[in-house]
Amino acid sequence: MAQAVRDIRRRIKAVKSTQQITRAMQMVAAAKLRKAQTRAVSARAYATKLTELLGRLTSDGAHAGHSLLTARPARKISVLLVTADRGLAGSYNTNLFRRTEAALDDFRRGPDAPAIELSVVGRKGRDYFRRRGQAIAREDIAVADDDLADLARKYAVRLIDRFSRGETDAVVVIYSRFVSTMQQKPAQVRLLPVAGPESAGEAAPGPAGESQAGEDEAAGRADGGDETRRVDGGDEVGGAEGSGEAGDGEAAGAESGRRGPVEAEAELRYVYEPGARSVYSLLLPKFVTNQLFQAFLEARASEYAARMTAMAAATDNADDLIGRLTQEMHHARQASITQEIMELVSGAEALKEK
Amino acid sequence: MAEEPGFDFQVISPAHVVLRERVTSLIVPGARGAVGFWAEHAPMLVALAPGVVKYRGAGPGASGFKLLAVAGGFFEFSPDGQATLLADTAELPGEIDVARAEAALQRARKRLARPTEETDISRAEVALQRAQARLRAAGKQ
Repeated sequence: MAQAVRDIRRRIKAVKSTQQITRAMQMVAAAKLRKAQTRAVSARAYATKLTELLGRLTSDGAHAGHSLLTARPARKISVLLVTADRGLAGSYNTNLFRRTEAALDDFRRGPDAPAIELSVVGRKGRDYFRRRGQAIAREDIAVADDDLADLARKYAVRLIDRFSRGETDAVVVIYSRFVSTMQQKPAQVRLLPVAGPESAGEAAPGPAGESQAGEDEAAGRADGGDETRRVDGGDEVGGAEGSGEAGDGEAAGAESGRRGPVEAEAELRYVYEPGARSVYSLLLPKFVTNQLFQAFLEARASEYAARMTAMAAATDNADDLIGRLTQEMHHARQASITQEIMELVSGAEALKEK
Repeated sequence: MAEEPGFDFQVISPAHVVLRERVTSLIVPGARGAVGFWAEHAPMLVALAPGVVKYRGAGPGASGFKLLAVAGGFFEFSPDGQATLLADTAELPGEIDVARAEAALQRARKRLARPTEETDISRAEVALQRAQARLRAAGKQ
């Protein structure tokens, strides 16, 4: 009996030391979250403004046929997945894997499915897809929070370059959008070709609910690619692309309706210095870079939030467990005392009988 | 002298909002030379070169130009009279690391003075401009 008490006591100790670890991890994640959250949120001002600017320029007609805007049949799609380097963050990574698998399946559907090139930021994503035998074109592991801007710049340069040379026909990024400490949503955003005029407002990984729009858009583009090839194999994707984005166009329209119809009119032409086209050409790469940067920031904030929540839950669980075990221990101890007394009493009784 | 009409000016870098102020006039370093703005300027969009932004605050007590270093970006004077600068990086004089800027200046000068095969001239020139802008905004040049 004393053995049972000792066992339970040992278990309580073990749970307590685990709890200490989860509590420490919770604190660390909370501290990192505060920083990452501030960063992600204060970076949204730039992203929002840049998106607005691009939209305005586009409605001014500066975009006509810019190569980064032109959709083409997708023979090769580049997917960039942003995950965490470590686990113990609840369902954070798993949700992203599931989303990515769904997206890949979606792209692969159909008779002439495009080739897919997967790049991963974060060790967990790499390990997951490597285990599944998926080729990984590029991986960036253990990137510090402070190096995200550099990484975004590097990726943007490389992706734009490859897109321009026709080595890839579309670029999609999958990451977790930070909604709140309690909520992070996997999101899918098409980086290239840059979302057209109507949907420019929807494409930024900003605070607005773009997650769903991004998904539909990407799906629309993939289908669009197939459709064009089926129809005549040539010509621009214009028609199919348009239909894919019609929904988004409506959403963006509702958004801009608030600002009044005047703004969308051509009468509000800007003076450009130097020239509309060159400003546009400078703006587009910046837009792509910023979208990536924002995605990285949101992903980090989401990761820390998910980890903090998961570790808080683990710490609470440990508390429950300790409570239950303590009670169990009391029972066992009481039982052993009772039994000792019984033994004594019955021993005394036995002596008295004689 | 009558009060000059002012307009809102904000500077936003990818990291955060650097400045939000009411100003009467400002000058931005355009890619093709400096461009000045007063209230009610026509809508305009300017691509920026690395350089110094000068702005004069509105209201009583504001005098002279204040400075700000930017490493490029875009400036928009919107139809509703708002001025927004989207900077690649933007620093107020107090935020500038003078020693670092000076080191960068020397490095860029050295690279431009003795270019080797792999010297990227345009990159070195931009680095030079950036460093000079920082030093000027910090009042060191």
